[in-house]
Amino acid sequence: MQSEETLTAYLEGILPKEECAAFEESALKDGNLFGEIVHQRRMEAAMRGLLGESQRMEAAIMASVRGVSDETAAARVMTAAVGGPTAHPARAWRLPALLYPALLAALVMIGCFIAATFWWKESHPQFLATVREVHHARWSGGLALRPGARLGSEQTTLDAGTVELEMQSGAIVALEGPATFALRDRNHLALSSGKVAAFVPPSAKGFTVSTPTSRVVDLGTRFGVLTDGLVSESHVFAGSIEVAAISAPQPVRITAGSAMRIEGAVLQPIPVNEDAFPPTLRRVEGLLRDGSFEKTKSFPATTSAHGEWLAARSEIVHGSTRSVRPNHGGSMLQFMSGASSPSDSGESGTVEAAAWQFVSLKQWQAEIATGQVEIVVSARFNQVADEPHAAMGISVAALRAEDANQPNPWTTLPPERKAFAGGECDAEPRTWEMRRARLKLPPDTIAVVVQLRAGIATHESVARALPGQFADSASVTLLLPHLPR
Amino acid sequence: MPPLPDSSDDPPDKALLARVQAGDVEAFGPLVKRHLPSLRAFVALRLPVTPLADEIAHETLVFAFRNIGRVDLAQPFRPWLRAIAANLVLHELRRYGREQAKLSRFAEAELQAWSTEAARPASDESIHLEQCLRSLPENLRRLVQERYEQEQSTAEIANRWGRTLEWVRVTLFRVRRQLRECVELKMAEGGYAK
Repeated sequence: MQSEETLTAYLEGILPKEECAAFEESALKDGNLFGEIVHQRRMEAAMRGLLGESQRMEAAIMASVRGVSDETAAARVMTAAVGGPTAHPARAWRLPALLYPALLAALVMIGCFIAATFWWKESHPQFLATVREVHHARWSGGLALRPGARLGSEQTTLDAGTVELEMQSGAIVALEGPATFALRDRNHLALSSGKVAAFVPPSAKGFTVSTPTSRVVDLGTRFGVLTDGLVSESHVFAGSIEVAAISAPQPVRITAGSAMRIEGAVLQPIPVNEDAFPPTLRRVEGLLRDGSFEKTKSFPATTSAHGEWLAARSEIVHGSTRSVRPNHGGSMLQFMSGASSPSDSGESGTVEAAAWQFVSLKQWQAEIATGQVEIVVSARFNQVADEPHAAMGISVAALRAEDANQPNPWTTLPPERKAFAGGECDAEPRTWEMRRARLKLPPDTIAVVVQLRAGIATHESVARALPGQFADSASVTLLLPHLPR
Repeated sequence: MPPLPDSSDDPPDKALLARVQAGDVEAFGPLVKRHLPSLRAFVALRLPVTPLADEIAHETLVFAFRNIGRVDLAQPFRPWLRAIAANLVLHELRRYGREQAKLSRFAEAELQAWSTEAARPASDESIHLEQCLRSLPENLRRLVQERYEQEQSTAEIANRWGRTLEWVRVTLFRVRRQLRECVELKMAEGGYAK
């Protein structure tokens, strides 16, 4: 039999992982020990149920009950108005003509009653949002909300984890615990503390997040709001919002890539930080094959294969090369010197090298057709010291079916189908610089091409160009909207 | 600790149920307040995962309200609630078993043990548990209250009581075992809880 200390540590969840597995194995062989664990857990859960705070749960149950009551009342009104099952066979008789006005008045009154009932339900919904997803969520007050659960206007505290709600308006809201919030109406969330990110489809434009210090109104966008109750921040990831301090309600419009800190009546611009918020878009990662150049041995001659690296004047090198170590794994891409070629802008005297990969997106055509899908491409770049600095970066282009046979989509595609992030790297070979580009995919996109490239303008011999430029750790992430169910 | 069911001066279940049946939705509130703690405990004893147990308690009361017209006012309300909850627990356990494709051997064994427990007829265990809790010595009852009613961590309790963490954990462990034995004794005596 295990000691009480070990058993209690196991029940408390503080036994180290490896000891835990061994403990469970021994419990499976020892019926008494296994029975003790089962009974202890039952008793523990029962006492939490018996003694734990239950007021919020009572309120939630009564909200559900009132909702049921409204449904029943509406059903009764409908049955009365449009005719439920008749208790007796209809008799052939004629209404005296004098009663026609009275009958008409009665029908009008019933119609008004139905309209009023539905207006009331529309403007006073019992449930304002539905839980879509929960991840390791722990709630205060004995709440246990799983996907499909509906939330009313009561204040709710998420102690830990993340939860995604769909407001009745269609806005998708991701909350990260600890957070305390209440739903004010079908398109308004009041955040007392914590973090919330919102994805607002056109149908929910005007979605509002209020905090103790600010009020944010969506103008068709994705944005995040955080507050500790005294200070709040609003970050815009796409589209734009209007934000106003509670104490100075003149709103300020801020757009994608901007953020504002609100303290009292003071609004102060700050850097946007999407990573600080729970995601409102579903992430699909790992779309790029061999982003760290560990498996690719050589580049094929073809120019249109999906799912493999193609390259011009680039090679894969193993281990440390000219004092640069791979950022990830044992290999990396090295851009090589070569013949002069025209750049995208047509500028002559530029030496360029590149590696690229086509990525098929046919699997996500339904989501892409909404025009709400974004793609994020990133890679790390490095170069040796004491050499001319090259511009290096990553590009992504959204391809239509008709672009499949284009020899060089970079020059023929319009700007809204392309994105690039890059620049010069520092002279420190021990650090890798991250470049990340983001593109909203047009609805007719069927694939993307992702390109890592380096270019240097030189008046010297082309043989001197690109003496030591490298890329590694490339990745592609698709951000898909949560379409209202 | 919650008041013992039916021990308060509130209207009896029968009067409240009659009002709900007559269309007074708010009369359901006192019934929820009165029966929720015991119902949560009843469900948790069969399905000891607090979030799931609370959800089933919630569903039970909403189901009861939807079907309030079927309640026979001559019969006690609590056994009917427990019967609904027991069915929901069985349903939930079956669903849980189906959805959890890769349970560890230990988790599978636990699920099997819960299922066996849940298949037993709805009993008065949760009522016995309330009575057993009240029979604990004062200091142990206070320990239980701090842990489960005030939701203090074992570290907070150890600090407040000037004891080690191990002492708090082991004492709570022994109290839970004592409560279980008390409940089993009452069940064996066949006493029907009020």
